[in-house]
Amino acid sequence: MSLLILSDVHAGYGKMEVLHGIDLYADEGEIVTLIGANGAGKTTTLNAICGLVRITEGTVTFRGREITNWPTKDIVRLGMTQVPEGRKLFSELTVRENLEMGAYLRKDREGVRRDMEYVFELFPRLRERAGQLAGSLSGGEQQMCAIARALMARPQLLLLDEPSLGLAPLLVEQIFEILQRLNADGTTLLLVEQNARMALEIADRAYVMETGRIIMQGPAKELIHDPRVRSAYLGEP
Amino acid sequence: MRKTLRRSWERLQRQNQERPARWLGTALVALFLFLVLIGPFLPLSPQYRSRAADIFLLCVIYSIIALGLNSVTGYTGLLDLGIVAFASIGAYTATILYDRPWMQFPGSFLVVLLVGGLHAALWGLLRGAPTLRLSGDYYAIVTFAFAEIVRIFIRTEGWLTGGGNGFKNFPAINLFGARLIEGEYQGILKTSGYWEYPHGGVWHGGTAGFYYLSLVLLILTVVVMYRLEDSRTGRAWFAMKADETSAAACGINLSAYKLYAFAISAFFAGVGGALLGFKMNVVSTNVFDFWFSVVVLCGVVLGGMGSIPGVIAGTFIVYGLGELLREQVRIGGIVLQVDDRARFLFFGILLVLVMVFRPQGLFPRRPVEESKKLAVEYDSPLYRLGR
Repeated sequence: MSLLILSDVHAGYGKMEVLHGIDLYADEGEIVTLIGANGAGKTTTLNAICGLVRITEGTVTFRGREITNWPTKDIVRLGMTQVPEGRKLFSELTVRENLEMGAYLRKDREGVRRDMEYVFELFPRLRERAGQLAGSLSGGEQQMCAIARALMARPQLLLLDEPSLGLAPLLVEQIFEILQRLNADGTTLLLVEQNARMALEIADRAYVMETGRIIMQGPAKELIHDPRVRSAYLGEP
Repeated sequence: MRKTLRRSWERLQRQNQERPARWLGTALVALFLFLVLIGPFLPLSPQYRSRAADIFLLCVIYSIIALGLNSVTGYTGLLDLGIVAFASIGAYTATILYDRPWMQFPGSFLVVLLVGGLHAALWGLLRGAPTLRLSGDYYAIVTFAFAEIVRIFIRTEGWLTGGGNGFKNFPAINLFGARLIEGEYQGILKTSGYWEYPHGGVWHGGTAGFYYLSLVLLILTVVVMYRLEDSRTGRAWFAMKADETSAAACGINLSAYKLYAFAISAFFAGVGGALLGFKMNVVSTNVFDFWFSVVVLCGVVLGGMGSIPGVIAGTFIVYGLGELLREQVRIGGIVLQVDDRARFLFFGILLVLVMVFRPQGLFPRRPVEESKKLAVEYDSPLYRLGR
């Protein structure tokens, strides 16, 4: 059974429906990516999964349990965390305190300390900045901190919303390398991206969204060669 | 507490090594604390001494209310324009209760303070529960409206509250044998207190007893606030203030922590309001009006939202200045005095100056400057291009 299953999920804001029936799944150990243009509903999909947007129809199943419209804190406790779009760090707290916040629901001090070491190893820059206020970090460092914070919850499934947003190409590559390493260490990733090329290169499978529907899906290696994807999202003729 | 103290002492020493000029700041802080400590006994002529004691007492009491306000506005970032609602609920509850014959037992004063605070906290929860999803201007409007509702209730329900005339001449405050304050309100306020020694003799300390009781309560408030700030709760508040989505993604129960903040805020505002009522020996909507909220907020913003020393300093500046501006100044034959309503002008000017030159407040919670300097180095042109 897959780790995460969405079946026929409808969701939206108030009376406006944004998602018109999303079906998608992620198996354990996979990198799954969700690509699409602005306003396609990618972020809404992520928010619906982790209980931040109300689902009006359909179900979300995670680790064999139906979690449709659960409170976010309970979903986090079950092992899923989101790295929100645009970093959204706690700017008045230091980097170390931000990381501690990620482990908010955990009780095992020893494990938290080990995981802190682990993320410092992944992102050595954060160790240098540990005592600094998160609001004073550069864009790339903030993204690293956001990912590290999410990891501190020790999630089985990590939802990433546009981790490449606003970063220099060099930094984007660095972030994606780290995502691959995380995946190799056993974390399943659901990656929402506008930078379709990078996303398809590291993903196992991919979904293409348009106006609230999934219009294409398949192994990433196939989609990357699909002429429609190439012209619409990879900027090639 | 000991850990916090030790940590701040170590930080102070570190900073002093880096910048020797900081000893000046430390000395000023020490002087300020010393003045607060001897508030009622400043070496001045008797007339000025009692005036100074009065101003210090006012500042101490308002600091408690301001710290209450700070736990919503400073920690969770929601603008509250109606702190007066809780101060007046606390004041009316405590003074009405204290007037009852069955409330005359040793220590009953502390009981009515506590009940006043708890009653305010209850209304903090009741106001907070339906407004959990509001933020920014919308929340501010609700707080303002609630304060008006409370004020109008007090004015119309005269059988309970004394209506527009307010409520005055409370029984003298007895606390385990010490008579802290007794007074009558006849146009001008007269207050005094005394202490009857167990073996005879009487010590006339003016309002000193009440001052030190208020000071102890302020210190307790500060301790509670520091502990909260450094706890899971405080961290959750700061996280929610920065971003609710991320906070939820960390597993924080947003509603519960918001309600917690509302209750804490209302409780301390209620206790402070009760003290204020007893201090003035009158509670009325002329004191607990909209400007009350504005001036308390003014002090919080001036000192630095979310910073405990900042909030206290800001409150002392605002109320100290406000009281000093009441004084007449004689230069030669000319008498200078600021019109009572014009005092707000000075608050406005002060606030504008702070907003322009030091938007984070006079004493912000954490010095951002140092970490900002580091960040600039990494703000390379490449990064800016990427954005």
